[in-house]
Amino acid sequence: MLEEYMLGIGFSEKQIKQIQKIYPARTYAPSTLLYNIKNLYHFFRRNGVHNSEFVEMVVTIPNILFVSIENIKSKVLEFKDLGFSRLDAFSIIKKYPYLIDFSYLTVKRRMDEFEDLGFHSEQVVQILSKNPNLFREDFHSFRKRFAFFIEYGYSIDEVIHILVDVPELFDSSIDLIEKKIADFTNMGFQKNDIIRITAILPSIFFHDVTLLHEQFQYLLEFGYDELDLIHVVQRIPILLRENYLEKLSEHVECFIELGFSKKDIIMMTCNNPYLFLYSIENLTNKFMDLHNLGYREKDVISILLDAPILFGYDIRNIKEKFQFFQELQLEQYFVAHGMYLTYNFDIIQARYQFLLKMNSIQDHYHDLFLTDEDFYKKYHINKIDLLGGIV
Amino acid sequence: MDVLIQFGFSIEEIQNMLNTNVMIESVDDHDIYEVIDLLKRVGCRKEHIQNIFICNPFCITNSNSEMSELVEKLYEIGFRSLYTLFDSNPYLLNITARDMDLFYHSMLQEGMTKEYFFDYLNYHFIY
Repeated sequence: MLEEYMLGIGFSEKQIKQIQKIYPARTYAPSTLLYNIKNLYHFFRRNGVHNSEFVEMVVTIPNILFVSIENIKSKVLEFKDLGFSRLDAFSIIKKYPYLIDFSYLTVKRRMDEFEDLGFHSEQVVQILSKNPNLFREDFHSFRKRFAFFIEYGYSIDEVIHILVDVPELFDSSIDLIEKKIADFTNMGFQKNDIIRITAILPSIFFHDVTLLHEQFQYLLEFGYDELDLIHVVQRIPILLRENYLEKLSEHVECFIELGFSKKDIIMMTCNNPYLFLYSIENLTNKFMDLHNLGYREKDVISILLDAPILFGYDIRNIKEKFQFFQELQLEQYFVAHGMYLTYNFDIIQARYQFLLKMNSIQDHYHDLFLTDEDFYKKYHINKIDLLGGIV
Repeated sequence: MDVLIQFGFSIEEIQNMLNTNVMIESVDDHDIYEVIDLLKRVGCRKEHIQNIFICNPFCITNSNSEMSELVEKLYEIGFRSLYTLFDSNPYLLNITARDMDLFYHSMLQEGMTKEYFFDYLNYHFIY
């Protein structure tokens, strides 16, 4: 009965035998063990612990089968008292079941140690929930890692942000962190860049740099220079996430397919690295949306080169302005000035109405696209007044 | 993500946003409402918010308090009608108040006038 039940939950035969051999399990009748395991299993299942997690927990610490549910409940209450949610508490227990044996004071002391380093209590809860193994480690080694980052040049806030985001760094070796920093230095990044990039994307410490090298090599061979690439990453460090990184070359190929020259692609993506984050399908569709408005392909290229951000725009936003100018037979204006399509439509309309009232619209369409200061200098009305006082 | 559907985004648009920013998958509807509220407070209407989210899906997962600080910083510098600014350049919402402040002061130090800085941000893109 007992074996059958445990097999049903997901224990292997080997695991069952091991558990039965361990003291005090071997001193209990199988029926008592079955009773305990059933109760405990149902209790944890009701609290969001999956079968495989339950198996892992019991295999890690078989004595848990002899801990009363009341004790576990009171441990959860202790965690709640320390600021953890019920969900956090169960997540911690399932990841690190030894905590059931920890006293309230031991847990509290570890939390205080983190707060002494400068972490807020909510951050401590977040870190320990993500990585409960940190309850086990020697705090001296955490201090060493913390000091390592500060000595390198990170601010306290940056270190806290990094460690809250990736608490695994607390128990990784300093050698690994140093090696990653050396990788970036060898690629041409300055200390400040490395701090900024890793502070925004701390998980980069655990990324394999092979993909980064491969993609950068592709771009260098395509014609980008090292400084271009550093500049792009400085501006958008999340580009180094694998899901974006692995598609850099596909993006370049997509732009070639759309008809952009090599020089244009480099200029456009350096001016707007966000283009690497949009999906290929999205980029192609936006290109076709503009083409479908009636522009020739080479005109679309001209518009997008002037304002690459339009690749990301909502097509309804573009259409609204396009139709307005189409009625004025001025839609070709955008071929040479794609940037004008990014102007807020409220401003364009307000200026149009203003110039219409002044009877000066006919020969002054270009003034619809003046900067605010130049419009003010020419017509003595500022943007707020034009927009009807909307601040 | 129900809030995005209720707000009028099509499934295709939501899919595009997710393709660009996978983190949207794990964001709470409540947090998305907060971003929408913030944008409404600076004057954005539905069509502006749609453009901002489609163009810059990262603002959906950005920290709301950081974006609020940016808004405060822009008001402090002297910007008004922020909705026109964010509608034209949705990427601005990814800049922290601290970086904006540093950028503003570095431009002033280079000799740029405050008025020119307003135009610079309104009509030239910084990413």
